Amino acid sequence: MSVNEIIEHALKGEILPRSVQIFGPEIALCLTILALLFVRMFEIHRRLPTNLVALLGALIAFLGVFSQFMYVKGGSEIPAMMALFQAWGLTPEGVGEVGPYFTGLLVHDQFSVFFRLGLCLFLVLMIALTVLSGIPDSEDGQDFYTLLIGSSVGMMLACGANHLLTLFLAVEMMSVPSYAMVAFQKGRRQASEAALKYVIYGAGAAGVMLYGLSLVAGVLGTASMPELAAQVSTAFAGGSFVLTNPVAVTLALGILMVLAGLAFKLSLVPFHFWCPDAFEGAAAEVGGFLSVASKAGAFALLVRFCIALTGNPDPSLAGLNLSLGIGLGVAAAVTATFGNLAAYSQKNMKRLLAYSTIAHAGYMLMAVSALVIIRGANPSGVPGLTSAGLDAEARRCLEALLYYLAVYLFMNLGAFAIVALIRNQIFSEEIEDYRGLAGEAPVLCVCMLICLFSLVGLPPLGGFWAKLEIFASLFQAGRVHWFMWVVLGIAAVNTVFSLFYYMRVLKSMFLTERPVGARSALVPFRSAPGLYVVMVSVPVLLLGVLAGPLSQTANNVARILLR
Amino acid sequence: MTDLLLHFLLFIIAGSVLVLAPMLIGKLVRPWLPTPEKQSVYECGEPAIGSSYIQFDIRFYVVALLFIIFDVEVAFFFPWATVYGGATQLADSRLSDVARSNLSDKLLNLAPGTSAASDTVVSAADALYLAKTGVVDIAVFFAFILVGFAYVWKRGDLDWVRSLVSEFQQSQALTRTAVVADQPAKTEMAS
Amino acid sequence: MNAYLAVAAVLFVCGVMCMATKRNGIGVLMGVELVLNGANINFVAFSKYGLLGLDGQIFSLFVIVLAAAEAAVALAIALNFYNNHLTIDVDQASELKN
Repeated sequence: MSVNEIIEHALKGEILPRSVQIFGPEIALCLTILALLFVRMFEIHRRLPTNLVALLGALIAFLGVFSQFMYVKGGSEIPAMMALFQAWGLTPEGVGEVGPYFTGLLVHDQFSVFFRLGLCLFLVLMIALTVLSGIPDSEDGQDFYTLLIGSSVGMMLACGANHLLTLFLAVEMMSVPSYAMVAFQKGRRQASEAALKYVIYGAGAAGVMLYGLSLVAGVLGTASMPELAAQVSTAFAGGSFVLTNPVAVTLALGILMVLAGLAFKLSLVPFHFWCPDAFEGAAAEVGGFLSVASKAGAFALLVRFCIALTGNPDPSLAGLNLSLGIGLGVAAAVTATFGNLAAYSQKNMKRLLAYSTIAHAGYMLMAVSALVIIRGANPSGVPGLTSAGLDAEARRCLEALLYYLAVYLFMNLGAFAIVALIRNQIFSEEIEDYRGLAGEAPVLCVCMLICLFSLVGLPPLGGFWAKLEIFASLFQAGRVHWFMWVVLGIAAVNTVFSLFYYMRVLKSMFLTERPVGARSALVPFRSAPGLYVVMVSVPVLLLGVLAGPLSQTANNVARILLR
Repeated sequence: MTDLLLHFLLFIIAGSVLVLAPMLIGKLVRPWLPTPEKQSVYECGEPAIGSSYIQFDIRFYVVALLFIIFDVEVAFFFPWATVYGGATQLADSRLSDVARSNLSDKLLNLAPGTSAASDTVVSAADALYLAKTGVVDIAVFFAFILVGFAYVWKRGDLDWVRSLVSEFQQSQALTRTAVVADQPAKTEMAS
Repeated sequence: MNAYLAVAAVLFVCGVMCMATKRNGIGVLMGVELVLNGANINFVAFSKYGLLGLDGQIFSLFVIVLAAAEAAVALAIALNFYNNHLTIDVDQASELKN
């Protein structure tokens, strides 16, 4: 783009207003950060608590993304939403139009709006949880919320990344505040140790990823993600993507390094070391944030990167797509198995949930690998599937991933929230100390049961449909390449196995007596914590009973993204 | 290339000779009469105390951390400065056509003569608009940094001697509110 | 261009070796800086001699700033660790185990 075009279109013309309109919720979050700092600077945080400022800002941003979501989904003609649309100034040529904005650094589509909606919802729930559990005290509240909101803005950037620079920027923006959040409880030895491990591994992974990005961008001569696939096909036209070609090896190495950096964010084996330590050392609330929001952001990046690479299925590049898909499949199977095996012997609840997070990242990665395999397939090479059929199956894979992430948001947040609320009562996070809690805090324990059963994937909960969709997409991908059936088998065995360690927690809660002299944990139903956990667990149930609307939306999102 | 290499070789050889030759001559010429004072390590004329591998005061690190952050933000001023400088030069309406097209080439990072050929010479009005937008951009960016700086200042992280008395009084007043957050940490540390 | 890429690759390998072998937390961070700067040289070389154009230069500017931010946070965490443990040896960080 030349300077004249930038001046005409970006500054004077339509690009700037459109970009600002789409970017509104993020700007609202940034202003919230400023407001938080000002509140503390002028010493009015005694009268105006910082957590309320943060909650208000997050709610405003959530409403903004929600109105964008409804606008993109239903158009401007929804009477109930008119006031909201007007308040955010949404226009058909702004939010209504799908495509890149900010001169191609970010992209606005259903996929990014879906993810941003989830992230904003999560941010609101997260701040509400910290208000209830009181983890940052009133002197340090603004620091904690600044980090939390800054990290969320990074994740929202990740959802719309359309350029390798934005990809790297988003990864750094979401991880640097989370290092500090892990270390937030200053006096605790464990917190500082966890943060040191996390920051050292994280910085190393980011460095390797950046080197990979430099190789990819340099070899292909572009850093814009939509152009990557076309550049790959022109650079290696005629089947020259072989291991004897040094340029091809460089590119493959670069892609591998980028995937390693993303795998670190997703805590995939063998880049998972930080995850249990960071979760155990950090507060449970921070653990919940890391396990849900940062996973969602990283998955959005992974999907965008994989789609950018496989966007243009040139028959001569089928090898690249296939090896990428199978590599992801192997990583997914190993990760899920490792997470479930390691979780089995844990005594600390946060550590158990950390390994369960690793296992779930494995399940979700299976959907991505199935997506890559199906997209890389040659329609004539698969018996019984047409080109349109392949497209439909690719949509199903993405739909499964989105559905899983949506359910995972509620069920994992619920589990971590209950751990945090129980900690506030009995000052312990050991599974042993949970014995007989069901008699004292029935609400927390029943909600924990719902969340954990959903994590296993038992019907009729949300986790069941999510797993079922992933298994179905793996089965379809198996028709393209038999290896996906192996992955499917491993996933099924893992699901059965995971039942045991979740059951151990529940057995300790429900089937044993409360030891004499243990601290009591009285959380009645009619209290703010009780209502909060019910509010988080009900969607898990609802998504199990009424799977239709969400999976329809997810399918729609996938259709536009893969078009 | 070989010319350059030769230069470097000559430079390296001359440099080494100029350092080594006086040392060698000194070694051959000087008398050798050691005393304990002469043999000790020379440190600005003072007698050396202990090893030089000591730990610095931790406050240096805090100031260094804050310095790094605010220092490096200036890196973003470089691309802005090139564009702004080019734009203000182009905004002068008295420029001749040739000068204008040359400056446009420079601003666009193109080979000389390209913008005149492809009709992308930037007009004075457009350049003025670009310059104005640039000022607003950098003002917003800098204001954000200043807010961060003011916050750090206000919190007392820049004070060399932090007034711990007022902080202690504040924390006394807050112990009641902070009890909920503190207690799990304490019990875990004890266990 | 190959000379620049070779320098970058050497920096990258040095950085990775440094990360893998150093036991001092600050030493590991130095390794990270080496890796980031290796990538920076790559970007600038590709932008000057390759097809990447100005994107590469902007990329490296952002990397410089992000590296500084990351280093600042990492050093602050290392300081916090030192205050609690009186060492920055990463091998001493072994209290969290299953």
